[in-house]
Amino acid sequence: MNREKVYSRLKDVFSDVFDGEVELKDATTASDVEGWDSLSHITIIGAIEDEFDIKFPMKDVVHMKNVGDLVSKIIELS
Amino acid sequence: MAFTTLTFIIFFAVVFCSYYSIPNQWQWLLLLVASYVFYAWSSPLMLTLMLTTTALSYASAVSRRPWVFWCALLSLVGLFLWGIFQRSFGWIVPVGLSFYCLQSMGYIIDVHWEMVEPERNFLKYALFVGYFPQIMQGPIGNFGRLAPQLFGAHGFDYQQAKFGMERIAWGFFKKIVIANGIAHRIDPVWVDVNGYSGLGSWSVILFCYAIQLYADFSGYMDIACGCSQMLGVKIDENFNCPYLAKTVPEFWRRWHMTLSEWFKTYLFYPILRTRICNKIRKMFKSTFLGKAVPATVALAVVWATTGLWHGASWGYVAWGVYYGFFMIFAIWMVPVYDRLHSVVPGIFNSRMYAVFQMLRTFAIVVVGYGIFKPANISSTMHIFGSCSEISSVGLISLRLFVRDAYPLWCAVGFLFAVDVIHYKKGNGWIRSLMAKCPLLLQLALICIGLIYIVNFGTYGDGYNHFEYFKF
Repeated sequence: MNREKVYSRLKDVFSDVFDGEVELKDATTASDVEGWDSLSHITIIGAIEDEFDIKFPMKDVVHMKNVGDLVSKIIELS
Repeated sequence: MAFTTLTFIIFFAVVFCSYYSIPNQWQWLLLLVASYVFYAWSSPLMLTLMLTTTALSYASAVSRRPWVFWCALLSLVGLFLWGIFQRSFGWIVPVGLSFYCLQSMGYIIDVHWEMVEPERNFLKYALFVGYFPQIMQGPIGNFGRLAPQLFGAHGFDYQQAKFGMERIAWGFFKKIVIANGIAHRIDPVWVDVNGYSGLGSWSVILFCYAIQLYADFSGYMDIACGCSQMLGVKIDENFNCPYLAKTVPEFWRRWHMTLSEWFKTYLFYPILRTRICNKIRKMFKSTFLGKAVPATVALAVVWATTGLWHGASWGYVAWGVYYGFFMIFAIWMVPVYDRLHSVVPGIFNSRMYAVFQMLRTFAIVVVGYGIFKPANISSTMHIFGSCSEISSVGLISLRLFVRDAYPLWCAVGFLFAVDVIHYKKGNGWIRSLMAKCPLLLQLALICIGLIYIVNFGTYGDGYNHFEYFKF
C-alpha cells in the first residue's frame, strides 16, 4: 500500500472521528487538530485499526510523533 | 533533608562544586552517592525499601521475561499499597515511596512495551530511581528522557547555572514567603475544623489553602528543577499556570503534570485498549457514545486510583469521585457545548467568557480542597454544612488581613502576575527578558527578591515541611 492510498483512507477515518474535514500532512501533530486530545487519540487509533485491520503496539500508541509517523507505521503493519 | 534547610544548601553547594571538579565520566557516580546520602538522611530503613524497589524493577527489566515482569509489577503495586495504608494509619512511611514506586513501575512497563532498552548497569539504574532533586516529591521521571542526561557528561555552563540559581530563588520565594506565610496563619484551622464556620470563613480559608498548596508544591518543583538545571539535567516540568485553566480536564493537564501523564499512559490508555472497551467502541461505531462510554469507564478507574494514590481514606476517595465526576461530565457535555458554540459563537469566543471559565474552574478546584485537605468525611461535611450560615466564625482570629499580612498578599499578587505573563507569553519569557538586562540590574532584582524573602518570609523549625511530603 502506498502513502497516497493510506492518506485517502486516513482522511475518511479522521473526518468520521472529528465530524468534519481535517487537513492531514506528514508534519501534522495532535496540537494542530482541534479536539485531538488523549481520548480522541485512542478513538482514532481504534478506528484506524478497524479500517486497516492492524493492531498497533502500545509503544506506537503512546509515542506517535505526527501523522507522517502514523502513516509509516500503518504501511509497516499492513 | 528538606530543600529549605541550611543543611541542604551546604549539601548542594558541595555536590555542585565536586560535580564540575571531577572527570566527566564519574559525574553520574557522584550523583548516585549524593542521592543516597540525601535519602539516607531521612532513615536507613527507608533506604532499604528504595533499594528493594530498585532491585526488583532492575531484575524485571533485565530479564525481560513476562512472568518476571508481572511478578515485579505486582510486588511494586503491593509495596505502593502498603505505603498508602501505612500513611493512613499514621505509621512511618518512607518519604517519596509513592513517587519512586510509580517511576519504577513506569520504567518496567516501558521496557515491557519495548519503548526503552533496559539499563544493564545496576548503579546507573539506581541513580535513575534515586536522583535526589526529584526523589521526595517528584516529578515522576521518564527513563527515556531522564537517563541520557543523568549518565551523560556535563561541562560547566554559566548560563544554565545562572538560570538554575534564579529558579531556586523563585522556589524559595514561593515556599518561604507565600506557602509558609499562609500556612502560619491557617494551620490552626485544620487542628480544629469545627471551630470555623460560615460561607465567608470557608471561602477565604479554602482560597488561602489553594494558594498555599500551589506555592508549596510548585515552589518545591522550582527548587528541584533549578538544582537539576545547575547540574545540567533538565527534569520534567510539573506545573504550567494551573489556576488559569479554563476547564477541569485542562487543570489536570497543568497541575502535577507528570502524575497526570503517568496515569494517562499507564492506566487510561491501557484501559481504553482493553477488549471490552474496544467492543463498546465498535458497537457504537464512530458515534459520540463510542467515545464517551469507554472514556467514562476508564476515567472512573483512573480517578478512583488517583484518590487512592493520595491515601486510603474515604476523604480521598470522595475527592477522587468529585474530580471523576467533573472529568466525565466534561466528556458528556461536549455535544451540548458544540451545539451552543454553533448557535451563539460570539459569546463563547469572547474574552469575558474565557475569564468566566477560568473563575469557574478555579472555584471547582477551591471547593475540591474542602474535601482534599481534611481528608475525612465528617470534617468535609462540617465545612460544607456550615456554609449555609451567614456569620463568619473564626475568620478574624486568623489575622489574614491585618497590616503584617500585606507583604504576603503583595507576594501573592506578584505570583499571579507572573503566572498571567507565563500563560500569555509562555514559560521562560520573563527569564529570557531578565537575561537581556544589564548584569547589574539582574543582580539588583535578585537581591530585592532575597531581601524580601529574608524580611517577609516565614522560616525556621516547623516550616521546612512540604505539603506533598506525606504522599
